[in-house]
Amino acid sequence: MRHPLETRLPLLGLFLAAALAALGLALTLGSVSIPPPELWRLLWHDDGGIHARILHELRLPRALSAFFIGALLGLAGALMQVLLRNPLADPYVLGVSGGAATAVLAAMLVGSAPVWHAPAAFGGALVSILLLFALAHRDRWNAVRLLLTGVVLAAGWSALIGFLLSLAPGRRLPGMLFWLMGDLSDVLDPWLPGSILLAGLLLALAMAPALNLAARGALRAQSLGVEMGSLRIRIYLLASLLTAVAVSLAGAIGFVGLVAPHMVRLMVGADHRLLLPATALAGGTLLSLADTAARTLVAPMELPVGVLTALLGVPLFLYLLNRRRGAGS
Amino acid sequence: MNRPLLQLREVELARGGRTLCRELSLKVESGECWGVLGPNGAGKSTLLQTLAGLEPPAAGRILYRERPLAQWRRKELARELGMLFQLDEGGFTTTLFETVLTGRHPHLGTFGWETAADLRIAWQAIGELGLEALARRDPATLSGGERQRMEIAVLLAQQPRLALLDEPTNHLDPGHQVEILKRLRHHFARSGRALVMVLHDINLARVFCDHLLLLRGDGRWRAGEVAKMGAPEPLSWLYDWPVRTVGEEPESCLTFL
Repeated sequence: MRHPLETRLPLLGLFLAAALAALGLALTLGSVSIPPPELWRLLWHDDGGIHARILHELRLPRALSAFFIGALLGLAGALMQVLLRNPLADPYVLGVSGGAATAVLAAMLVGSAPVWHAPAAFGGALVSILLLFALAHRDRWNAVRLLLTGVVLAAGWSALIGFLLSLAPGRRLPGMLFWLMGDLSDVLDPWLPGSILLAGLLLALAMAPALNLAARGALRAQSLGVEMGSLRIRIYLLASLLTAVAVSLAGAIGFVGLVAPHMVRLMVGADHRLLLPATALAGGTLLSLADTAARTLVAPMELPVGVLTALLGVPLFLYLLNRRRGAGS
Repeated sequence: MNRPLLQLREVELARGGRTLCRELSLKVESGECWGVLGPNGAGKSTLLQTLAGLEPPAAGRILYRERPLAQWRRKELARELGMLFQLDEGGFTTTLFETVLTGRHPHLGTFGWETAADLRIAWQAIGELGLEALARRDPATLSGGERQRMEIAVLLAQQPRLALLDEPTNHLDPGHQVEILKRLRHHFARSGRALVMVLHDINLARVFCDHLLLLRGDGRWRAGEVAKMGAPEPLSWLYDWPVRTVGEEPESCLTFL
Protein backbone atom coordinates (compact mmCIF):
# COMPACT_ATOMS: atom_id res chain seq x y z
CA MET A 1 0.00 0.00 0.00
CA ARG A 2 1.54 3.29 -1.10
CA HIS A 3 0.98 6.63 0.53
CA PRO A 4 -1.61 8.55 -1.52
CA LEU A 5 0.73 11.54 -1.76
CA GLU A 6 3.64 9.50 -3.05
CA THR A 7 2.33 9.40 -6.60
CA ARG A 8 1.36 13.07 -6.58
CA LEU A 9 4.50 14.53 -5.05
CA PRO A 10 6.27 14.75 -8.45
CA LEU A 11 3.54 17.18 -9.56
CA LEU A 12 5.20 19.71 -7.29
CA GLY A 13 8.11 19.63 -9.76
CA LEU A 14 5.67 20.54 -12.51
CA PHE A 15 4.47 23.57 -10.56
CA LEU A 16 8.07 24.55 -9.88
CA ALA A 17 8.90 24.29 -13.58
CA ALA A 18 5.89 26.45 -14.46
CA ALA A 19 6.98 29.00 -11.86
CA LEU A 20 10.50 29.19 -13.28
CA ALA A 21 9.15 29.50 -16.82
CA ALA A 22 6.85 32.36 -15.77
CA LEU A 23 9.74 34.13 -14.03
CA GLY A 24 11.91 33.62 -17.11
CA LEU A 25 9.20 35.13 -19.29
CA ALA A 26 8.84 38.10 -16.94
CA LEU A 27 12.59 38.77 -17.18
CA THR A 28 12.72 38.38 -20.96
CA LEU A 29 9.74 40.47 -22.02
CA GLY A 30 9.31 44.21 -21.79
CA SER A 31 10.08 47.42 -23.67
CA VAL A 32 13.53 45.95 -24.27
CA SER A 33 13.46 42.22 -24.77
CA ILE A 34 16.41 40.32 -23.42
CA PRO A 35 16.86 36.98 -25.23
CA PRO A 36 17.15 33.94 -22.95
CA PRO A 37 20.87 33.13 -23.58
CA GLU A 38 21.85 36.71 -22.71
CA LEU A 39 19.42 36.69 -19.80
CA TRP A 40 21.08 33.61 -18.36
CA ARG A 41 24.55 35.14 -18.69
CA LEU A 42 23.54 38.53 -17.25
CA LEU A 43 21.76 36.89 -14.35
CA TRP A 44 25.04 35.60 -12.99
CA HIS A 45 27.48 38.18 -14.45
CA ASP A 46 26.38 41.79 -14.09
CA ASP A 47 28.44 43.40 -16.90
CA GLY A 48 27.22 46.89 -16.03
CA GLY A 49 25.55 47.32 -19.46
CA ILE A 50 22.08 48.72 -20.01
CA HIS A 51 20.50 45.25 -20.26
CA ALA A 52 22.13 44.16 -17.06
CA ARG A 53 20.87 47.27 -15.29
CA ILE A 54 17.34 46.78 -16.57
CA LEU A 55 17.50 43.19 -15.44
CA HIS A 56 18.98 43.68 -11.99
CA GLU A 57 17.47 46.99 -11.02
CA LEU A 58 14.02 46.73 -12.55
CA ARG A 59 12.86 43.39 -13.85
CA LEU A 60 14.33 40.96 -11.36
CA PRO A 61 13.02 42.75 -8.24
CA ARG A 62 9.64 43.29 -9.85
CA ALA A 63 9.33 39.74 -11.17
CA LEU A 64 10.26 38.28 -7.79
CA SER A 65 7.92 40.65 -5.94
CA ALA A 66 5.04 39.78 -8.26
CA PHE A 67 5.77 36.10 -7.75
CA PHE A 68 5.97 36.34 -3.96
CA ILE A 69 2.85 38.49 -3.70
CA GLY A 70 0.92 36.07 -5.89
CA ALA A 71 2.11 33.22 -3.70
CA LEU A 72 1.01 35.09 -0.56
CA LEU A 73 -2.45 35.65 -2.03
CA GLY A 74 -2.77 32.03 -3.17
CA LEU A 75 -1.80 30.78 0.27
CA ALA A 76 -4.18 33.22 1.99
CA GLY A 77 -6.98 32.01 -0.26
CA ALA A 78 -6.26 28.34 0.48
CA LEU A 79 -6.27 29.05 4.23
CA MET A 80 -9.52 31.01 4.12
CA GLN A 81 -11.13 28.24 2.12
CA VAL A 82 -10.46 25.74 4.91
CA LEU A 83 -11.46 28.21 7.60
CA LEU A 84 -14.80 28.78 5.91
CA ARG A 85 -15.02 25.28 4.38
CA ASN A 86 -15.85 26.81 1.06
CA PRO A 87 -13.85 26.82 -2.19
CA LEU A 88 -15.31 30.23 -3.07
CA ALA A 89 -13.50 32.00 -0.24
CA ASP A 90 -10.93 34.52 -1.42
CA PRO A 91 -9.46 37.47 0.47
CA TYR A 92 -10.67 39.89 -2.19
CA VAL A 93 -14.19 38.54 -2.72
CA LEU A 94 -14.88 38.36 1.02
CA GLY A 95 -13.71 41.89 1.74
CA VAL A 96 -10.52 41.04 3.63
CA SER A 97 -8.39 42.81 1.04
CA GLY A 98 -10.87 45.69 1.17
CA GLY A 99 -10.41 46.01 4.93
CA ALA A 100 -6.65 46.02 4.51
CA ALA A 101 -6.82 48.53 1.67
CA THR A 102 -9.07 50.86 3.65
CA ALA A 103 -6.64 50.83 6.55
CA VAL A 104 -3.68 51.53 4.25
CA LEU A 105 -5.48 54.41 2.52
CA ALA A 106 -6.39 55.88 5.89
CA ALA A 107 -2.74 55.62 6.90
CA MET A 108 -1.70 57.27 3.61
CA LEU A 109 -4.21 60.04 4.15
CA VAL A 110 -2.90 60.96 7.57
CA GLY A 111 0.54 60.98 6.00
CA SER A 112 2.11 58.11 7.92
CA ALA A 113 5.38 56.62 6.71
CA PRO A 114 5.19 53.59 4.35
CA VAL A 115 6.55 51.33 7.14
CA TRP A 116 3.17 51.62 8.80
CA HIS A 117 1.27 50.44 5.75
CA ALA A 118 1.78 46.76 6.45
CA PRO A 119 0.73 46.89 10.14
CA ALA A 120 -2.28 49.03 9.19
CA ALA A 121 -3.21 46.50 6.50
CA PHE A 122 -2.89 43.67 9.02
CA GLY A 123 -5.26 45.44 11.39
CA GLY A 124 -7.75 46.11 8.60
CA ALA A 125 -7.62 42.52 7.35
CA LEU A 126 -8.06 41.14 10.85
CA VAL A 127 -11.06 43.34 11.57
CA SER A 128 -12.63 42.31 8.29
CA ILE A 129 -12.11 38.57 8.76
CA LEU A 130 -13.43 38.71 12.34
CA LEU A 131 -16.52 40.62 11.21
CA LEU A 132 -17.09 38.05 8.50
CA PHE A 133 -16.75 35.21 10.95
CA ALA A 134 -18.98 36.80 13.57
CA LEU A 135 -21.71 37.62 11.07
CA ALA A 136 -21.71 34.51 8.92
CA HIS A 137 -20.89 31.57 11.16
CA ARG A 138 -24.46 30.84 12.15
CA ASP A 139 -26.35 28.60 9.77
CA ARG A 140 -23.38 26.19 9.57
CA TRP A 141 -21.43 28.24 7.04
CA ASN A 142 -24.18 28.31 4.49
CA ALA A 143 -22.34 29.29 1.28
CA VAL A 144 -24.89 31.85 0.18
CA ARG A 145 -24.99 33.60 3.54
CA LEU A 146 -21.21 33.63 3.72
CA LEU A 147 -20.78 35.10 0.27
CA LEU A 148 -23.48 37.68 0.81
CA THR A 149 -21.89 38.75 4.07
CA GLY A 150 -18.45 38.94 2.46
CA VAL A 151 -19.71 40.82 -0.57
CA VAL A 152 -21.60 43.31 1.58
CA LEU A 153 -18.53 43.82 3.75
CA ALA A 154 -16.49 44.39 0.59
CA ALA A 155 -19.07 46.93 -0.56
CA GLY A 156 -18.85 48.65 2.83
CA TRP A 157 -15.08 48.85 2.58
CA SER A 158 -15.25 50.21 -0.94
CA ALA A 159 -17.67 52.91 0.22
CA LEU A 160 -15.17 53.84 2.94
CA ILE A 161 -12.41 53.79 0.33
CA GLY A 162 -14.46 56.16 -1.84
CA PHE A 163 -14.90 58.43 1.15
CA LEU A 164 -11.16 58.43 1.89
CA LEU A 165 -10.31 59.08 -1.75
CA SER A 166 -12.66 62.03 -1.90
CA LEU A 167 -10.79 63.53 1.05
CA ALA A 168 -7.40 62.96 -0.60
CA PRO A 169 -5.52 65.88 -2.16
CA GLY A 170 -5.82 65.86 -5.97
CA ARG A 171 -2.15 65.33 -6.78
CA ARG A 172 -1.98 62.07 -4.84
CA LEU A 173 -5.22 60.69 -6.20
CA PRO A 174 -3.89 58.93 -9.37
CA GLY A 175 -1.21 57.11 -7.39
CA MET A 176 -3.69 56.00 -4.74
CA LEU A 177 -6.17 54.83 -7.36
CA PHE A 178 -3.56 52.86 -9.24
CA TRP A 179 -2.33 51.26 -6.03
CA LEU A 180 -5.89 50.36 -5.18
CA MET A 181 -6.48 48.50 -8.43
CA GLY A 182 -3.42 46.42 -7.84
CA ASP A 183 -0.11 47.83 -8.94
CA LEU A 184 3.27 46.20 -8.85
CA SER A 185 5.29 48.98 -10.49
CA ASP A 186 6.43 50.45 -7.17
CA VAL A 187 7.34 47.23 -5.44
CA LEU A 188 11.08 46.97 -5.81
CA ASP A 189 12.11 45.09 -2.73
CA PRO A 190 11.27 41.39 -2.93
CA TRP A 191 12.75 40.56 0.47
CA LEU A 192 9.76 41.49 2.61
CA PRO A 193 7.16 39.47 0.67
CA GLY A 194 9.72 36.69 0.15
CA SER A 195 10.56 36.25 3.80
CA ILE A 196 6.92 36.54 4.92
CA LEU A 197 6.03 33.95 2.31
CA LEU A 198 8.65 31.51 3.53
CA ALA A 199 7.64 31.94 7.16
CA GLY A 200 3.93 31.75 6.30
CA LEU A 201 4.39 28.62 4.23
CA LEU A 202 6.27 26.88 7.02
CA LEU A 203 3.65 27.84 9.59
CA ALA A 204 0.87 26.70 7.27
CA LEU A 205 2.62 23.40 6.56
CA ALA A 206 2.88 22.73 10.27
CA MET A 207 -0.92 23.01 10.43
CA ALA A 208 -1.50 20.97 7.26
CA PRO A 209 -2.64 17.67 8.83
CA ALA A 210 -5.08 19.56 11.06
CA LEU A 211 -6.29 21.56 8.06
CA ASN A 212 -7.12 18.32 6.25
CA LEU A 213 -9.46 17.44 9.11
CA ALA A 214 -10.87 20.94 9.52
CA ALA A 215 -11.93 20.76 5.87
CA ARG A 216 -14.28 17.93 6.92
CA GLY A 217 -16.04 20.09 9.50
CA ALA A 218 -15.27 21.40 12.97
CA LEU A 219 -16.95 18.63 14.98
CA ARG A 220 -15.35 15.84 12.97
CA ALA A 221 -11.97 17.52 13.28
CA GLN A 222 -12.38 17.90 17.04
CA SER A 223 -13.41 14.30 17.50
CA LEU A 224 -10.22 13.32 15.66
CA GLY A 225 -8.06 15.34 18.00
CA VAL A 226 -7.86 18.83 16.46
CA GLU A 227 -8.13 21.74 18.89
CA MET A 228 -10.40 23.79 16.60
CA GLY A 229 -10.46 26.94 18.71
CA SER A 230 -6.73 27.52 18.55
CA LEU A 231 -6.49 26.28 14.97
CA ARG A 232 -9.09 28.84 13.87
CA ILE A 233 -7.21 31.65 15.55
CA ARG A 234 -3.96 30.59 13.91
CA ILE A 235 -5.62 30.45 10.49
CA TYR A 236 -7.24 33.90 11.07
CA LEU A 237 -3.95 35.47 11.99
CA LEU A 238 -1.93 33.84 9.25
CA ALA A 239 -4.46 34.51 6.46
CA SER A 240 -4.76 38.13 7.62
CA LEU A 241 -1.00 38.56 7.74
CA LEU A 242 -0.46 37.11 4.26
CA THR A 243 -3.27 39.22 2.77
CA ALA A 244 -2.07 42.32 4.58
CA VAL A 245 1.51 42.06 3.32
CA ALA A 246 0.29 41.52 -0.24
CA VAL A 247 -2.22 44.39 -0.08
CA SER A 248 0.10 46.86 1.60
CA LEU A 249 2.72 46.30 -1.12
CA ALA A 250 0.60 45.92 -4.21
CA GLY A 251 -2.95 47.03 -3.49
CA ALA A 252 -6.07 44.95 -3.71
CA ILE A 253 -5.32 42.30 -6.33
CA GLY A 254 -8.31 40.00 -6.54
CA PHE A 255 -9.01 36.38 -7.36
CA VAL A 256 -5.47 34.95 -7.20
CA GLY A 257 -6.54 33.37 -3.91
CA LEU A 258 -9.51 31.82 -5.67
CA VAL A 259 -7.94 30.69 -8.94
CA ALA A 260 -4.68 29.24 -7.61
CA PRO A 261 -6.08 26.81 -5.00
CA HIS A 262 -8.80 25.74 -7.43
CA MET A 263 -6.31 24.86 -10.17
CA VAL A 264 -4.10 23.06 -7.70
CA ARG A 265 -6.94 21.04 -6.18
CA LEU A 266 -7.90 19.76 -9.60
CA MET A 267 -4.36 18.51 -10.14
CA VAL A 268 -3.01 17.36 -6.77
CA GLY A 269 -6.12 16.80 -4.65
CA ALA A 270 -7.10 18.35 -1.36
CA ASP A 271 -4.32 17.19 0.98
CA HIS A 272 -2.90 20.41 2.38
CA ARG A 273 0.58 19.00 2.81
CA LEU A 274 0.82 19.12 -0.97
CA LEU A 275 -1.88 21.69 -1.70
CA LEU A 276 -0.24 24.52 0.24
CA PRO A 277 3.21 24.53 -1.40
CA ALA A 278 1.68 23.88 -4.82
CA THR A 279 -0.79 26.75 -4.30
CA ALA A 280 2.03 29.10 -3.37
CA LEU A 281 3.85 28.18 -6.58
CA ALA A 282 0.68 28.44 -8.67
CA GLY A 283 -0.32 31.80 -7.16
CA GLY A 284 3.16 33.14 -7.84
CA THR A 285 3.12 31.84 -11.41
CA LEU A 286 -0.30 33.32 -12.01
CA LEU A 287 0.51 36.80 -10.76
CA SER A 288 3.88 36.73 -12.47
CA LEU A 289 2.22 35.99 -15.81
CA ALA A 290 -0.51 38.55 -15.17
CA ASP A 291 2.05 41.21 -14.33
CA THR A 292 4.07 40.44 -17.45
CA ALA A 293 0.90 40.78 -19.50
CA ALA A 294 -0.01 44.01 -17.69
CA ARG A 295 3.39 45.47 -18.55
CA THR A 296 3.49 44.40 -22.18
CA LEU A 297 -0.05 44.21 -23.59
CA VAL A 298 -0.52 47.96 -24.08
CA ALA A 299 3.14 49.03 -23.78
CA PRO A 300 4.41 51.63 -23.22
CA MET A 301 1.38 52.05 -20.96
CA GLU A 302 0.76 49.68 -18.05
CA LEU A 303 -2.49 48.08 -17.01
CA PRO A 304 -3.23 47.64 -13.31
CA VAL A 305 -2.54 43.95 -12.76
CA GLY A 306 -5.66 43.63 -10.57
CA VAL A 307 -7.78 44.29 -13.64
CA LEU A 308 -6.26 41.30 -15.41
CA THR A 309 -6.60 38.91 -12.47
CA ALA A 310 -10.24 39.96 -12.10
CA LEU A 311 -10.89 39.29 -15.78
CA LEU A 312 -9.57 35.78 -15.22
CA GLY A 313 -11.10 35.24 -11.79
CA VAL A 314 -14.65 36.46 -12.25
CA PRO A 315 -15.65 33.84 -14.86
CA LEU A 316 -14.11 31.08 -12.73
CA PHE A 317 -15.91 32.33 -9.64
CA LEU A 318 -19.26 32.35 -11.46
CA TYR A 319 -18.59 28.88 -12.81
CA LEU A 320 -17.81 27.54 -9.34
CA LEU A 321 -20.86 29.20 -7.84
CA ASN A 322 -23.05 27.73 -10.54
CA ARG A 323 -21.60 24.26 -10.20
CA ARG A 324 -22.01 24.30 -6.42
CA ARG A 325 -25.64 25.22 -6.69
CA GLY A 326 -26.12 22.32 -9.11
CA ALA A 327 -24.42 19.93 -6.73
CA GLY A 328 -26.19 21.23 -3.64
CA SER A 329 -29.75 20.77 -4.82
CA MET B 1 -12.71 -5.47 39.16
CA ASN B 2 -13.40 -3.67 35.90
CA ARG B 3 -13.21 0.10 36.00
CA PRO B 4 -16.09 1.71 34.10
CA LEU B 5 -15.07 3.38 30.84
CA LEU B 6 -17.63 6.12 31.08
CA GLN B 7 -19.51 7.49 34.07
CA LEU B 8 -22.30 10.05 34.00
CA ARG B 9 -23.20 11.70 37.29
CA GLU B 10 -26.45 13.66 37.40
CA VAL B 11 -25.92 15.01 33.92
CA GLU B 12 -28.42 17.50 32.57
CA LEU B 13 -28.81 18.08 28.85
CA ALA B 14 -30.44 21.17 27.41
CA ARG B 15 -30.86 22.64 23.98
CA GLY B 16 -32.39 25.96 23.03
CA GLY B 17 -33.40 26.67 26.64
CA ARG B 18 -35.30 23.38 26.92
CA THR B 19 -34.21 20.70 29.38
CA LEU B 20 -34.04 17.41 27.49
CA CYS B 21 -32.77 15.16 30.23
CA ARG B 22 -32.44 15.58 33.99
CA GLU B 23 -30.04 13.95 36.47
CA LEU B 24 -28.85 11.27 34.11
CA SER B 25 -26.53 8.87 35.92
CA LEU B 26 -25.16 5.71 34.39
CA LYS B 27 -22.00 3.69 33.85
CA VAL B 28 -20.76 2.21 30.62
CA GLU B 29 -18.50 -0.74 31.41
CA SER B 30 -16.01 -2.25 29.01
CA GLY B 31 -17.55 -4.91 26.79
CA GLU B 32 -20.97 -3.30 26.80
CA CYS B 33 -23.09 -2.24 23.87
CA TRP B 34 -25.55 0.53 24.63
CA GLY B 35 -28.44 1.62 22.48
CA VAL B 36 -30.00 5.05 22.87
CA LEU B 37 -33.65 5.27 21.88
CA GLY B 38 -36.06 8.15 21.92
CA PRO B 39 -38.43 10.27 19.87
CA ASN B 40 -37.18 12.98 17.48
CA GLY B 41 -35.56 15.91 19.26
CA ALA B 42 -35.20 14.00 22.54
CA GLY B 43 -31.52 14.93 22.77
CA LYS B 44 -29.93 11.74 21.49
CA SER B 45 -27.40 13.52 19.28
CA THR B 46 -26.83 16.13 21.98
CA LEU B 47 -26.07 13.32 24.42
CA LEU B 48 -23.49 11.76 22.08
CA GLN B 49 -21.79 15.09 21.40
CA THR B 50 -21.69 15.76 25.12
CA LEU B 51 -20.20 12.33 25.78
CA ALA B 52 -17.60 13.02 23.06
CA GLY B 53 -16.60 16.20 24.90
CA LEU B 54 -17.71 18.38 22.00
CA GLU B 55 -20.06 20.38 24.19
CA PRO B 56 -20.29 20.66 27.98
CA PRO B 57 -23.34 19.30 29.79
CA ALA B 58 -25.77 21.86 31.24
CA ALA B 59 -25.04 20.36 34.64
CA GLY B 60 -23.43 17.29 36.17
CA ARG B 61 -20.15 15.48 35.64
CA ILE B 62 -18.86 13.09 33.01
CA LEU B 63 -15.84 10.94 33.73
CA TYR B 64 -13.98 9.01 31.08
CA ARG B 65 -11.76 6.34 32.62
CA GLU B 66 -12.30 8.04 35.98
CA ARG B 67 -10.94 11.37 34.75
CA PRO B 68 -13.26 14.32 34.02
CA LEU B 69 -13.85 14.60 30.30
CA ALA B 70 -12.88 18.28 30.22
CA GLN B 71 -9.42 17.44 31.54
CA TRP B 72 -8.51 15.28 28.57
CA ARG B 73 -6.45 16.85 25.81
CA ARG B 74 -8.19 16.63 22.43
CA LYS B 75 -5.61 14.46 20.76
CA GLU B 76 -5.29 12.18 23.75
CA LEU B 77 -9.06 11.81 23.92
CA ALA B 78 -9.26 11.10 20.18
CA ARG B 79 -7.14 7.99 20.70
CA GLU B 80 -9.68 6.77 23.26
CA LEU B 81 -13.02 7.93 22.03
CA GLY B 82 -14.37 8.01 18.51
CA MET B 83 -17.58 9.38 17.13
CA LEU B 84 -19.65 8.67 14.05
CA PHE B 85 -21.59 11.75 12.98
CA GLN B 86 -24.65 12.00 10.82
CA LEU B 87 -23.69 12.70 7.22
CA ASP B 88 -23.30 16.27 6.07
CA GLU B 89 -22.64 18.01 2.79
CA GLY B 90 -19.71 20.11 1.75
CA GLY B 91 -16.00 19.79 1.95
CA PHE B 92 -13.49 19.52 -0.82
CA THR B 93 -12.76 17.00 -3.52
CA THR B 94 -10.71 14.16 -2.11
CA THR B 95 -10.68 10.36 -2.22
CA LEU B 96 -12.32 7.76 -0.02
CA PHE B 97 -8.93 6.33 0.91
CA GLU B 98 -7.60 9.69 2.06
CA THR B 99 -10.77 10.32 4.03
CA VAL B 100 -10.43 7.01 5.87
CA LEU B 101 -6.78 7.84 6.47
CA THR B 102 -7.85 10.96 8.44
CA GLY B 103 -8.97 8.49 11.12
CA ARG B 104 -5.30 7.92 11.87
CA HIS B 105 -4.72 11.58 12.76
CA PRO B 106 -4.79 11.11 16.56
CA HIS B 107 -2.04 8.51 16.24
CA LEU B 108 0.32 10.52 14.01
CA GLY B 109 3.67 11.73 15.28
CA THR B 110 5.03 15.27 15.21
CA PHE B 111 5.57 15.42 11.44
CA GLY B 112 2.02 14.33 10.77
CA TRP B 113 2.96 11.81 8.12
CA GLU B 114 1.23 8.43 8.00
CA THR B 115 3.46 5.40 8.37
CA ALA B 116 3.12 2.08 6.54
CA ALA B 117 1.25 0.78 9.59
CA ASP B 118 -1.27 3.63 9.37
CA LEU B 119 -1.84 2.90 5.69
CA ARG B 120 -2.35 -0.78 6.46
CA ILE B 121 -4.88 -0.06 9.21
CA ALA B 122 -6.84 2.31 6.96
CA TRP B 123 -6.80 -0.19 4.12
CA GLN B 124 -7.98 -2.94 6.45
CA ALA B 125 -10.91 -0.79 7.61
CA ILE B 126 -11.83 -0.15 3.98
CA GLY B 127 -11.66 -3.88 3.30
CA GLU B 128 -13.86 -4.70 6.27
CA LEU B 129 -16.59 -2.48 4.94
CA GLY B 130 -16.23 -3.79 1.40
CA LEU B 131 -15.20 -0.44 -0.03
CA GLU B 132 -11.98 -1.47 -1.83
CA ALA B 133 -13.42 -0.83 -5.28
CA LEU B 134 -14.38 2.71 -4.26
CA ALA B 135 -11.07 3.67 -2.63
CA ARG B 136 -10.10 6.18 -5.31
CA ARG B 137 -13.54 7.73 -5.68
CA ASP B 138 -14.48 11.20 -4.46
CA PRO B 139 -16.83 10.71 -1.47
CA ALA B 140 -19.16 13.37 -2.92
CA THR B 141 -19.92 10.99 -5.80
CA LEU B 142 -20.84 8.06 -3.52
CA SER B 143 -24.35 7.07 -2.49
CA GLY B 144 -25.58 7.81 1.02
CA GLY B 145 -25.08 4.21 2.11
CA GLU B 146 -21.56 4.08 0.69
CA ARG B 147 -20.65 7.30 2.46
CA GLN B 148 -22.07 5.99 5.71
CA ARG B 149 -19.88 2.90 5.37
CA MET B 150 -16.91 5.17 4.63
CA GLU B 151 -17.56 7.11 7.84
CA ILE B 152 -17.65 3.82 9.76
CA ALA B 153 -14.34 2.89 8.14
CA VAL B 154 -12.88 6.20 9.41
CA LEU B 155 -14.00 5.22 12.90
CA LEU B 156 -12.49 1.74 12.61
CA ALA B 157 -9.21 3.27 11.39
CA GLN B 158 -9.24 5.56 14.43
CA GLN B 159 -9.34 2.47 16.69
CA PRO B 160 -10.93 4.14 19.69
CA ARG B 161 -11.72 2.31 22.92
CA LEU B 162 -15.22 3.78 23.13
CA ALA B 163 -17.26 4.34 19.98
CA LEU B 164 -20.16 6.79 19.96
CA LEU B 165 -22.38 6.33 16.93
CA ASP B 166 -25.15 8.61 15.77
CA GLU B 167 -27.52 6.43 13.78
CA PRO B 168 -24.94 4.10 12.25
CA THR B 169 -27.59 2.32 10.17
CA ASN B 170 -28.80 5.48 8.46
CA HIS B 171 -28.84 5.29 4.65
CA LEU B 172 -28.04 1.57 4.76
CA ASP B 173 -30.15 -1.14 3.19
CA PRO B 174 -31.47 -3.80 5.65
CA GLY B 175 -28.75 -6.31 4.73
CA HIS B 176 -25.97 -3.81 5.35
CA GLN B 177 -27.66 -2.63 8.57
CA VAL B 178 -27.38 -6.06 10.13
CA GLU B 179 -23.92 -6.71 8.76
CA ILE B 180 -22.52 -3.41 9.98
CA LEU B 181 -24.03 -3.66 13.44
CA LYS B 182 -22.48 -7.12 13.72
CA ARG B 183 -19.11 -5.73 12.75
CA LEU B 184 -19.37 -2.83 15.15
CA ARG B 185 -20.34 -5.15 17.97
CA HIS B 186 -17.48 -7.48 17.06
CA HIS B 187 -15.04 -4.56 17.18
CA PHE B 188 -16.21 -2.69 20.21
CA ALA B 189 -18.40 -4.85 22.46
CA ARG B 190 -15.51 -6.78 23.90
CA SER B 191 -13.08 -6.54 26.75
CA GLY B 192 -11.54 -3.10 27.04
CA ARG B 193 -13.92 -1.51 24.56
CA ALA B 194 -17.53 -0.41 24.40
CA LEU B 195 -20.03 1.30 22.16
CA VAL B 196 -22.94 3.64 22.58
CA MET B 197 -25.19 4.12 19.59
CA VAL B 198 -28.29 6.06 18.75
CA LEU B 199 -30.75 3.88 16.88
CA HIS B 200 -34.21 4.43 15.49
CA ASP B 201 -35.04 0.81 14.87
CA ILE B 202 -36.32 -0.84 18.08
CA ASN B 203 -35.78 -4.29 16.60
CA LEU B 204 -32.13 -3.69 15.79
CA ALA B 205 -31.61 -2.16 19.22
CA ARG B 206 -33.15 -5.19 20.95
CA VAL B 207 -31.08 -7.63 18.93
CA PHE B 208 -27.70 -5.92 19.01
CA CYS B 209 -27.55 -3.99 22.28
CA ASP B 210 -27.17 -5.40 25.75
CA HIS B 211 -28.21 -2.14 27.45
CA LEU B 212 -30.69 0.52 26.49
CA LEU B 213 -31.03 4.17 27.44
CA LEU B 214 -34.48 5.59 26.81
CA LEU B 215 -34.64 9.38 26.46
CA ARG B 216 -38.08 10.92 26.35
CA GLY B 217 -36.89 14.46 25.75
CA ASP B 218 -38.98 15.94 28.58
CA GLY B 219 -36.30 15.43 31.22
CA ARG B 220 -37.27 11.84 32.03
CA TRP B 221 -35.13 8.83 31.15
CA ARG B 222 -34.78 5.14 31.93
CA ALA B 223 -31.76 2.92 31.52
CA GLY B 224 -30.90 -0.70 32.06
CA GLU B 225 -30.41 -4.10 30.53
CA VAL B 226 -32.12 -4.79 27.25
CA ALA B 227 -34.26 -7.57 28.75
CA LYS B 228 -35.95 -4.98 30.97
CA MET B 229 -35.82 -1.84 28.84
CA GLY B 230 -36.60 -3.55 25.54
CA ALA B 231 -39.96 -4.74 26.87
CA PRO B 232 -43.36 -3.40 25.70
CA GLU B 233 -44.00 -1.34 28.86
CA PRO B 234 -40.89 0.91 28.84
CA LEU B 235 -41.03 1.30 25.07
CA SER B 236 -44.71 2.31 25.17
CA TRP B 237 -43.78 4.80 27.91
CA LEU B 238 -40.93 6.11 25.72
CA TYR B 239 -42.87 6.72 22.53
CA ASP B 240 -46.29 7.44 24.07
CA TRP B 241 -47.63 4.79 21.74
CA PRO B 242 -48.58 1.18 22.44
CA VAL B 243 -45.74 -1.21 21.61
CA ARG B 244 -46.00 -4.99 21.65
CA THR B 245 -43.75 -7.89 20.67
CA VAL B 246 -44.61 -10.45 18.02
CA GLY B 247 -42.36 -13.40 18.73
CA GLU B 248 -38.63 -13.87 18.70
CA GLU B 249 -36.19 -12.27 16.27
CA PRO B 250 -33.20 -14.42 15.44
CA GLU B 251 -30.46 -12.03 14.32
CA SER B 252 -29.41 -14.28 11.48
CA CYS B 253 -32.36 -13.28 9.35
CA LEU B 254 -34.40 -10.18 8.67
CA THR B 255 -37.90 -9.96 10.09
CA PHE B 256 -40.71 -7.85 8.77
CA LEU B 257 -44.36 -7.44 9.50
